[in-house]
Amino acid sequence: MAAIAHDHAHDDHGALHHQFENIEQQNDSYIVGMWTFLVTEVMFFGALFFIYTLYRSMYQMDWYLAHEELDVTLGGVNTVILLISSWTVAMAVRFAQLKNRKMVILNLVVTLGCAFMFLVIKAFEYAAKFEHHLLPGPTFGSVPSHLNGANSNYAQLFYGLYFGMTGLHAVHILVGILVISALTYLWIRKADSVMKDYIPTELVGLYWHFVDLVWIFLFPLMYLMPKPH
Amino acid sequence: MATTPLSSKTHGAGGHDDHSSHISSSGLLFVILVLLMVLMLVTIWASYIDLPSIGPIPGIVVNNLVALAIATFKATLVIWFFMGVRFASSLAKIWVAAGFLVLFLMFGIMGDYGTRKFEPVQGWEVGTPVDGGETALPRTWPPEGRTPGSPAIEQNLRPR
Repeated sequence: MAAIAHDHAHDDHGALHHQFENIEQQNDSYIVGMWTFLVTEVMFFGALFFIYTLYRSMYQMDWYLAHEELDVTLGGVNTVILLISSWTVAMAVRFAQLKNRKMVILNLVVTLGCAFMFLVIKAFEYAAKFEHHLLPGPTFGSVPSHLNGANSNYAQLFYGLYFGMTGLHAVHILVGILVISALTYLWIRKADSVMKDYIPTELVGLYWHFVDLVWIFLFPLMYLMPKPH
Repeated sequence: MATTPLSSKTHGAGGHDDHSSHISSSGLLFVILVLLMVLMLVTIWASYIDLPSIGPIPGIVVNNLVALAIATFKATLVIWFFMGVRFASSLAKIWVAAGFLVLFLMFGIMGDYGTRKFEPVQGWEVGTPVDGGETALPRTWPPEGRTPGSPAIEQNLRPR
């Protein structure tokens, strides 16, 4: 590690804690720590993606028929919304590094708006599925026209994973809204913890990008199954 | 490995200073966003086309591989540029790579599920709960979705 002069340290980053050699090591530790959390998240979602792979490989045709009930347009709009929010968070981190407070707040607020829009659209999608009796449970498939000819049991497996995975993802969006709101509040209050150190903004950004990352896989897997041929 | 110092002297220059290379340019971030959008359109488009089989690989598998390849590429763009892993320390890079490597390795478990039908297990033969055969499967047998004449049906095995 390069030796860095610390005489100006207090005005461009958080306090250097005693256990670290220098500010780079401290920042690296934060980043690696956040990634450790994200890696556990990868394992968490990974198990669900595995279950998905297993059952989809077993019941390919039934799942294809069941998936036709999902709305690709709404899913696509939500993908665009999440991609934009990921970009605004990346911009917020950039402006946090440049200490442009107004632009940080603007980008974080746009991100929050995107997150809310995503949840609203998801709620409409869920409501339609509930109405069509596609929520796994005793009345699942009681409106056969919405199964598109798929075996009810296998369609239920599909919708179990659809609600499980997108639901877990939505919970992550909710947590993201809370965390980003708290971060925005700190920026609005001109708190030293975020103004003098870009790391809090960076770590929240990493979390939000991860939420986007999960959706990048969920969208094609849930909404865009190719027709078995 | 020496990392780029995060010093205040580089901040004042608005991110154009040589030493502030760890701050992504807004132009680059926007290009990545556009690229991600384009790839999203490509993946939607590709999912509606019946891609031809390549050698022994059936067309449906080609379709799935294309979709996953695009998603993986999109994910890589997000991780590398948006999440700033390109600026991160080697330790962080290895850690990130290891996390996704383990995810990839986990799918080796498919080898188990894929080969279970080759090895009948005593007591796990086809049957209904009524006549004594246990099953974790839906209580209809045989499931309508299964193809009659498939090896598992002929050998009187149930999928697990």
